[in-house]
Amino acid sequence: MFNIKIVNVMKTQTAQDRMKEYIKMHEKKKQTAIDVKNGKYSDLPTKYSKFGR
Amino acid sequence: MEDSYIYRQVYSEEFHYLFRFKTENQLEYVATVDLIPSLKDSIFYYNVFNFGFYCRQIHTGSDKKIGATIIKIINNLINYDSDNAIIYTCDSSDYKEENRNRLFNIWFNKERAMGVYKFDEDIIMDSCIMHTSLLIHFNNSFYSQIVNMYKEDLAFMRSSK
Repeated sequence: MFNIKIVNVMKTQTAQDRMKEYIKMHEKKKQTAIDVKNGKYSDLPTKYSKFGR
Repeated sequence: MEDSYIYRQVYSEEFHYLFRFKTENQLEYVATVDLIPSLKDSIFYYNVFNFGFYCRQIHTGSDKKIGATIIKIINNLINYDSDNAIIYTCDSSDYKEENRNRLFNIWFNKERAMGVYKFDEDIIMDSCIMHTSLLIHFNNSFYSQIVNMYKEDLAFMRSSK
């Protein structure tokens, strides 16, 4: 059943659509780099993490 | 295995997960883990993450614990659920993506968890080379689907340029 769903997804969303979103992700990364340098995330409170440490 | 820094998850509405750690030299690092919108209709939407890491200051010198910490964050994400996979793209905002990619490869080869494989694809975007890697556990239930999707998408992007 899972495989059928994946095949359907790949048919309905074209590689071109996915490419547009990869480009958006690339732009977001550039903005994140600027935000980090400006200290945007420096004061956010920590939380319990299920990923340890 | 190299010693790593203690890292913390911080609250963020902007990213799926956001981690932060500080080095002995008071450099502040942020690692971001984000869902990939283009996968929103697939059954592995909540398992394939876009990963990035950034330093607030300009980093000079060498500190082996930074790489160990970055790879530890990735290993923990994948070990928590072997269906999780990571797509890492080198930050290219300062045109140091070549060095960053070389370092990441060294870190990964040294610190990677058992069973985690890396696939690399490069594309040219905005006149610079974008280095990307897929990190995936061999036991991932969608291993071949995710690897094929990654390779096909990046091949398509290369051919479209």
